[in-house]
Amino acid sequence: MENVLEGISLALNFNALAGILLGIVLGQILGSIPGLTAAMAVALLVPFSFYFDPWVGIPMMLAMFKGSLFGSSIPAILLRTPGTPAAAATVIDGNPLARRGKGGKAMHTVLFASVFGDSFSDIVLIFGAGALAAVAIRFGPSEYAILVFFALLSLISLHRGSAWKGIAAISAGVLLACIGLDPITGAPRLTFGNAELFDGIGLIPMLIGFLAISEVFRQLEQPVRLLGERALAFSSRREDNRLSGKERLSLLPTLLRSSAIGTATGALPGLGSTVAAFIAYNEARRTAAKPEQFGKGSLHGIAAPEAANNAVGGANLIPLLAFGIPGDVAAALILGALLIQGITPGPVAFRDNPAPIYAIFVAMLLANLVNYLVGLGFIPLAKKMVSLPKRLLFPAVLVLASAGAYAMRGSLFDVQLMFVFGLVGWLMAKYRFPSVLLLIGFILTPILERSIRQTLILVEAADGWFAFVASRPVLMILLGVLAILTAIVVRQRLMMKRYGLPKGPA
Amino acid sequence: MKRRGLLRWTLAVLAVTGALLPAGCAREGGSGEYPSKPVTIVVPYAPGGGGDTFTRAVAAQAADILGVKVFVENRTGGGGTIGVGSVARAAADGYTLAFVSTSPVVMAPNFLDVPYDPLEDFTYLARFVVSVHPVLVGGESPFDSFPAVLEFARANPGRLRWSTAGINGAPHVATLAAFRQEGVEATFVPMQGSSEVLAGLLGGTIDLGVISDYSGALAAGDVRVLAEIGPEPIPGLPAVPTYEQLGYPLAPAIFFGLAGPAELPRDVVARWDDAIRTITASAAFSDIAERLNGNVAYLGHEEFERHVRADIAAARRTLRTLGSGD
Amino acid sequence: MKRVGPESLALAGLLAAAVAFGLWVLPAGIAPGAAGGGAGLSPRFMPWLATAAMALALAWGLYRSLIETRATDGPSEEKAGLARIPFGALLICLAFALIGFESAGFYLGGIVMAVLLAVLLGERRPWVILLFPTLLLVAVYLLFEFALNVRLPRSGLIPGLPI
Repeated sequence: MENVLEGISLALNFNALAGILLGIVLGQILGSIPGLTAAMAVALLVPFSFYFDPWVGIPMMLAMFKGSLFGSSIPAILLRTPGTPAAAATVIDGNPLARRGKGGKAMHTVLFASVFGDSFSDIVLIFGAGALAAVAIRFGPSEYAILVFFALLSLISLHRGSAWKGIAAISAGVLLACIGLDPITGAPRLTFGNAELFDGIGLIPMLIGFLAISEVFRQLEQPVRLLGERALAFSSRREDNRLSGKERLSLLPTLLRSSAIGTATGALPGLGSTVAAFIAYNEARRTAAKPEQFGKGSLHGIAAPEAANNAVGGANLIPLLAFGIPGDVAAALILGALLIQGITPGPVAFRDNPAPIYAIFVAMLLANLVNYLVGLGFIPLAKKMVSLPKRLLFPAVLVLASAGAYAMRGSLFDVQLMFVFGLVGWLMAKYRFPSVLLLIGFILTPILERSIRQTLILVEAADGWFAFVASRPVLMILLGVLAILTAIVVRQRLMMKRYGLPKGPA
Repeated sequence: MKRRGLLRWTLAVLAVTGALLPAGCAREGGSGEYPSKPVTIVVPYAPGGGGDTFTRAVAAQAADILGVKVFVENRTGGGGTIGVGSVARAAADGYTLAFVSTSPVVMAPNFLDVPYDPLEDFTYLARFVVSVHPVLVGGESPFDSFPAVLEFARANPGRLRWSTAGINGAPHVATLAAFRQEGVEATFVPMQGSSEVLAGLLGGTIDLGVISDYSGALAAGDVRVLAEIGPEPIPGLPAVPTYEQLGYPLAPAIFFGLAGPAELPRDVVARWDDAIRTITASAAFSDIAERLNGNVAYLGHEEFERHVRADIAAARRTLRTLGSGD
Repeated sequence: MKRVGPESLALAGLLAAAVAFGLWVLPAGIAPGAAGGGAGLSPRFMPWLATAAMALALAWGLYRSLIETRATDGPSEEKAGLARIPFGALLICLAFALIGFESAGFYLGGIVMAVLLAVLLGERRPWVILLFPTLLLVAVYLLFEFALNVRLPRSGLIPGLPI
């Protein structure tokens, strides 16, 4: 118990609070600039954290991540241009709501959902890290392959247009993802001698290009006189600019489900917040009472991806604190900072020196609160920014995005790629090809392909499929669950055919 | 009318950007004693990684010693080859340097078409760290020594599953060569990043991992150290055999050092050599090294050049015997 | 059957490109898996699968466009071409991404780029045209160089100034 108290006192001093505040503010600002990610900024802080007090540096980094996950949704809602990949799914319902003048309500929904998701996963982290990590560590390539495959299948249902356009889009995404060094042999694929492509096409140039830049070009198709107007108008009615208590209550089931999805995704290293956001959105739509609202500004459609992508943040620390294994870039950076401070996360730290760990927990919960409060202030600021006329705002977005895309790798090639993808995305939108599916294919293919090929290698090493599956309890459980789910779905379809029942909202 | 307008537009844009082109050609030169303006060190990896942190520590101290600002710039890609390549092409005036490590300089050129020749295009200034790179098994593993692993692998060809943080890196090649020499047939499972390898070890996906980021797991007993791939034993674990002791063809010392483009002026080389010697002798640097699993191992310019060339030759030899290099 | 319209032609072209890609570009760009490189799929498998899927999808789309008498998907945009303003913006952005930023540095280049874009988009007030981009790039400088320590490309024109 004294450890908990000591931890609390470590985290509750003035410097730490200042660090958290600064981190949240910086995070929200950076997140809102297309092309800049908090990971980048935090990475630059890590070496300096050696010179800071640990209890300023580490809470600041944690706060930056949380802030950026909220900040990135603001341009997603207001301008249809996500600040980071994680906010890509928020565009789908966020922007339509803003177009109807209810941008204020949309932003408050995002704020509420983000902080909810963060708090949910932080609490799971605090009380359940050990248990969750013990399960997650058993997930190897074969389990990932199954999970990602089914995620891909279910996300395909996001598309509502022609099937062939959807397939073409996904295939294009898969193909683009294959450019780079082969994950198994290390040989270059489709790089044609261009060393800058060894690591493949970056997610940032791709995502910002396809979603943000193409959207700017689309919006520039308006007649010139409209370009002189402010970018977005807000209704003056009070209820359009806030989220009522009743609405918050009605969002709870969606928030809980999406936060759970985000936490589970975060606990499994390698999947990421973008994937979690899309899966949560899809699930929310599938189980919604009014699915036809989705895509038009449904509050559930905004809350779901936001809760999920923030929940990933807390859950990412689960494998880190339990085993010392960072689940993604963010956790790796925190690991670096902790190591420099002489703190080695892992079960030993929990046993021998838990006070710093408790301090981290307290800092995270505090950061959620600060995130909410600062966010309340950010929202009116954002409204001011979009009252700029479009003919000034859009050039600003293009310049900022260029800087952001460059900053990632110090490479102008990335900036060039970004604009090329902007062109392609613009054309795709014109002809009703779903960019979202292309992105999903692009994001999921690397891990899917790698997992499948690793599995095949492991199967050979285990002398056959039967021996392999028998040696992996989690795999057997997963296969069992999937078999049952498939049986249920097939039965449902058969019953509907036989009895001619009308299709439910599925 | 519209089409003409568009044409005029395009011409105007091209004219403006073209007019700015000559501006790029007018670069100023430094004057006076070196260094007379800020120096940039390129780190070819993402910020926050081991090499990056070391480099920033070096840069911070170097700034004090040299009296100018030392910037660290991250240029990631291709396992380090892009950043390193950009410095190979930079002006040899000592204001653009690179953090170099074994992978992009010794190993990568054998597998990829890199835009530089590691023997001709660099001046190797000094080395500051050699990183510890052990062979690990999971805590629950039945193997309690490296010979035990080899015995199992010989008796069960293809059953031993092992991995390294990257593909075709020094640990991978060295271990392949070791297995070949021991007559062992094992299955290499390619993984990306030491985190995936560590998770694989803990989750029972693989039996053996060769990585350098493992401290938390080691302290917890979740992994055990069976061997070290480099020439020097691990400080604190003198009983653990090294590849060199075991007589394997390749026992690479994974080095972290500083390099510049070829034909750097002597005074530049001398100043950096001195600076790094001072930095590596400092207590602050030793502290950081300890925390990041590295051994402070200063090597001056000439020695470092020799070592790098020897490493490159050893790697090529080993790859030839392995019959790969694809 | 419908008249062969521009849509069908475009699809046919894309389909031909996809097939050509799969037959020639792909094998040229990807070495087959090493024989002794362990079990598993060839590095060509996934890209090949994607190309095949894309070709099939395009073929299906082509078939539909030839058979269907009306679009089932809602009409494609009325203005099937590329509108003038966004296309001009695209050209400006590409010009700077390819040449401008490298030669003029990001700050000078960025100011000119923003000026050109603002004018293209209809801004006519001269003081705004010059002031806004300058303030924008100053903000970029503060944010990127000060806060983030990221050095954007310089032109080296004016020694001493970070331009």
